[in-house]
Amino acid sequence: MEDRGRSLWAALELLDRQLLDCDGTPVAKVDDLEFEEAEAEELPVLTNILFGQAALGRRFNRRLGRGVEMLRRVMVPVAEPGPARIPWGAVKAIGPHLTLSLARSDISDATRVDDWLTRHVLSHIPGSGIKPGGESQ
Amino acid sequence: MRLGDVLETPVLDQDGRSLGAVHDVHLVQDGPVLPSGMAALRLHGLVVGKAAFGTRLGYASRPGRADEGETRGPWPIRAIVRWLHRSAVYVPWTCVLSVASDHIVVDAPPGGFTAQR
Amino acid sequence: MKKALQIALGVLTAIGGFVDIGELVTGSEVGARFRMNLAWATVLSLVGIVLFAEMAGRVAAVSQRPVFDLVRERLGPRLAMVNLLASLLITLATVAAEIGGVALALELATSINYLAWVPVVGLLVWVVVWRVNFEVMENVFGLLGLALVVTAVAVWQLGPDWSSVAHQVLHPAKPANESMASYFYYAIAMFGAGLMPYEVFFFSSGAIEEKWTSSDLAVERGNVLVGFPLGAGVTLSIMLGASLVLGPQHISVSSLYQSALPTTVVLGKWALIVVIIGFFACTFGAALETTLSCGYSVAQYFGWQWGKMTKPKDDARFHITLMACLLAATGLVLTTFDPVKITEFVVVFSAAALPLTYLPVLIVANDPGYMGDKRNSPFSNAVGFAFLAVLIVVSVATIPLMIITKVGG
Repeated sequence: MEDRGRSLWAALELLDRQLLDCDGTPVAKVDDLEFEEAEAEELPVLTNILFGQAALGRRFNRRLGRGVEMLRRVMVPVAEPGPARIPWGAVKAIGPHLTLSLARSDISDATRVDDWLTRHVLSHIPGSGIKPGGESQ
Repeated sequence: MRLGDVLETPVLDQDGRSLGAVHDVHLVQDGPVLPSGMAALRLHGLVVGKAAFGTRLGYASRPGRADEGETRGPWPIRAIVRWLHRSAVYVPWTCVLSVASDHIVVDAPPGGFTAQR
Repeated sequence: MKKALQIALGVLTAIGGFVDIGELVTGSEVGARFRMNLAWATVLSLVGIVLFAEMAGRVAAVSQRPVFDLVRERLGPRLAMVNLLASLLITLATVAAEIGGVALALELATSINYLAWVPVVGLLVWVVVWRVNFEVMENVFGLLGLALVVTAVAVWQLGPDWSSVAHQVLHPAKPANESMASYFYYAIAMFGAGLMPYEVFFFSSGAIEEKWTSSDLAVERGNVLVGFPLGAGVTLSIMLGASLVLGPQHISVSSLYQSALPTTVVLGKWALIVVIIGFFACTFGAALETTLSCGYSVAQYFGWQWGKMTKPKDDARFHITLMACLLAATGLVLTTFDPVKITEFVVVFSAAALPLTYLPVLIVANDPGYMGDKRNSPFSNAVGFAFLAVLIVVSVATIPLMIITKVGG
């Protein structure tokens, strides 16, 4: 993000866009955006990108979103309440897609399902190049 | 507050008249500087309109967005989408009185809000 | 030199790529019933696939983002989900039809019932999708698909009355013994056979798998502008062969055997072997492409990593989706639903669902943010929009015609 004072239209330019990590690898979609509650007279500030099933579920239906969020609390070890988040400060560039300054491997919420599937399903399939336990051969 | 909850929420003025629903949200990069060195984005206003379809196809122009960035063709589709959005208005955030889960109340100035082409 | 080779390879693989079980079955059936009076439907679908494949490939090469990635941005998650579900259902049925087609080709070759081949084929498709390099996969099956050119050779040997053929192609008329509703129903079927939703998603994702960039646009255009018309030529040979051999005998097409008949009758047993190889290659190739398209569209909707170019451990969800889709499709064929009947449904529903998949391509191909100066010219837009209008008309007419003709009667 270069210029201060730049105007952006959230639904048109940020929402539902692809998030790429610092190497250009797809991480997730911008499933929702979170704003800090504004004090009186202050404008709300964009704080986080929300992504994952819980965030997307709520876009369809509020109750669905709440349900998935509760499921997430059960399944993910140290979840704070709510969906998976990436702080807005991690966004390095905005264009046709949003580029983060982080690597995908640093974002545990993004890799959790793939890692689980790799460890427990793909590693048992011959020819995957993965040892049972999840490391590459 | 989540963008997904604000979008498509009906907007009423202080007399209960419907202005449409929120189609988009205007952000400006003029907030406090973040650890990354860049300024945070603050929510300055809403685009409110009546048509449901085509809000994000890239045809409606928004102030602050360079004209070269606007999708121009094919012209029949562009014409239809812009016609659907002819009554859209820009509501500054300072005019928003309350945000509830199923409606937003705004304080409309006497002449109405400025039209958003 | 290398560029020329690439273009040649692309063209050759596009020929077989144009033809799949839809053209084999519908082309033969239409040729037998309507002679060449529906050739225009194939030509129309050719215009469509050239138009949209070029656009989808260009969008992918220039913006490095596949088409379905962009559908959600433009239409929002709900409408994009409708799009995803519709294309996924049709494409899953297409996978089933193609797997059935491969099994039928193997039955033709070995006389072992196709149902026994189905699980084998399903497994083989999965092995290739799992392990074989993308370009190798495309090139091998594409080149093998050239065997279908034997159908054109057969037609040449048959020596039809070319002026009468030309008359039917250029001045189509509804045969006396068919109703107007049937005529247009089969026109839609033939049109849908040439233009299926998965093709746009496959073409654009494939461009990224093969790492095309703006400098590859010449190769891309070569494939599309030369390869596809030649593929349409093969389809028309199949139609013509059927009209000359099956039509006069009132043989209707209910199995792949009848599709092969015109070629074998004229050229003999060796031609049967060649044509079976052609059938096998084009249906197997299409099975691979449709399976991958299922994975591409789901992964691109949710923002997951995808692609054969990626190591499996980094796109596990993509591979699991592929496996699930293959299992579902194989299961569908194993219910003993006739693959030929599945094909007939698939081509018609494909035609009906097309506007949903093509509108986002047309819009994004115009976006300067994505395309820069490679965005659509006014000419492409004019043709593209006119075609979209055609697609909407076709889409609206499909279900009523299906009901009136009782699915082709």
